[in-house]
Amino acid sequence: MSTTSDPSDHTPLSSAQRFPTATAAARRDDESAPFFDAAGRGELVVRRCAQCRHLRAPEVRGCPRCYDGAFTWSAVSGRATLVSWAVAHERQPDGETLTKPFALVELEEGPWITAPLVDVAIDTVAAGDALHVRFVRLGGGEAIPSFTREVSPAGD
Amino acid sequence: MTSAIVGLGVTEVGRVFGRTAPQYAADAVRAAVVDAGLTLDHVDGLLFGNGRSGGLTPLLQRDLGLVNLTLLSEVGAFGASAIAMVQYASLAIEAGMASVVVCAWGDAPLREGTSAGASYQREMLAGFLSVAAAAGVTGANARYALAAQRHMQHYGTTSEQLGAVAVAQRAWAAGNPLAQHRLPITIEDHQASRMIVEPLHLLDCCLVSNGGVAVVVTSTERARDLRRPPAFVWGWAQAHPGTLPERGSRFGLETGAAVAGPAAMRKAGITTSDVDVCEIYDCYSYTVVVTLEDYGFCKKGEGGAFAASGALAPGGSLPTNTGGGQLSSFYLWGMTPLSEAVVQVRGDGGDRQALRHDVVLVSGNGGVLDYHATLVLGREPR
Repeated sequence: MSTTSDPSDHTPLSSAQRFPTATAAARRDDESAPFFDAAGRGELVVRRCAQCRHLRAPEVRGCPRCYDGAFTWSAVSGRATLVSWAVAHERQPDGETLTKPFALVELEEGPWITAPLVDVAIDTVAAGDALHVRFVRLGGGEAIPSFTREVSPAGD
Repeated sequence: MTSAIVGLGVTEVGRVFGRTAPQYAADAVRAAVVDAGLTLDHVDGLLFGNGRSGGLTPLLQRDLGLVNLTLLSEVGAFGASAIAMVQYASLAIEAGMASVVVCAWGDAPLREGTSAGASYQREMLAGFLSVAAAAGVTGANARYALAAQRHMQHYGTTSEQLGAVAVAQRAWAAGNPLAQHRLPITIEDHQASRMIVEPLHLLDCCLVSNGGVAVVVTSTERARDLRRPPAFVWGWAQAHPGTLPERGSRFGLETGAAVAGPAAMRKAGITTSDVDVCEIYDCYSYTVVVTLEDYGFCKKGEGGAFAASGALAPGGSLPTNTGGGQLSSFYLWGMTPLSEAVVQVRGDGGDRQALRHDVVLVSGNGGVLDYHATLVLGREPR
């Protein structure tokens, strides 16, 4: 028998107060617009330093190697390996729990991306799994990269 | 080292309402100054930090009626702010810039009628943050879940081992009248608590609390004449690794504690074997595990087993988070471990007092393992 108490569960609340939005939609701003434009074309882009050509994650503003800020958006292959993962458990107004697996992946070019993990049985994944990008639109928002596992040549 | 913490003020904390963050901070300052045996006339330095609800500004000076301050500043390093304030207060005192510095904190994220989780809900995001949010990464819970999972994959840390941290801290909280949660829990309770972001259960996650905490820092010479046993500042360090999201990152595996801990202990002239009590920033059970490893209390990767051995619990070899911590007592960011450290050094812990309390190690962790500070406090002057 549990002896815990969780006051946050005992306070009477409206449905809107208790349950966050099921799916947040990605929205562009000026900085991310080229990233979303590429995603809409089915292309994954990261920042390439104009000075030293180091590739860095889309949201990283300055080069970690040479500190320069100038960059170009550069397409990458979409292949990645799994670094880590987790599963958000979001309680819905109807009482159900929506589970949303997501991952931290390492692109084969080096930068890391946080993205939904799709069409994967979460209890079968392991660090180092080969993944590839698939663009999805969640909640009616912009196209964003998600990752799914590579199918073996012989098929599953 | 030439400074000491001589006053501690803690307001009512937890699911308490009716005051704003600046009001809690001011209440805590007044209590800390009384605790020190001083009056507000003596205060010539004021440092403050903001939590989730914000609201603290230099106007805190006016709220308190303080005049002729020679030091006044907000300190912003998230969970590392509390220790950073003590560091900067000490440096100012050492430099002769101020003589009695109050370090203040107040937060009021909880609104009556709103759940703890909703208090930390993000506003509508745009740009790259919204990409992460669309993926389910809506806040710290999700990012720490990724960190914890990486640690579990790499080192074999288990959820039950994280549970051992929660169980140990709840056992300490039983002896703390101020703690929000005092009823003992078991590993089974931990495992049965609902998933927040897998692998983190509810009982792996810190509380959300309203309230204020303040400490008074002065020179060791001044400290000897005051009302309470001083907590002498022996050593400190900060480390902000700037971990990048790219190949080679040690995200989840190692934190700034691996740099700041040894540096602070070197400055204090001690090693881990000299530490009697640890007050570790525990936004999540996992944070305690990785921090203790990085400090060198066990081998890298063996923090889970260390917790599961019972070492951290009452009766264990390394009393940790003796008030219950952010998991069971209250969550006012870095002020939670700092305030309990002062209590322990003074011998004021009552039912939760650690038997040996000559040297207490305090950690501060901000962002998602991004910002780190370590402080060493001693019962005697160094």
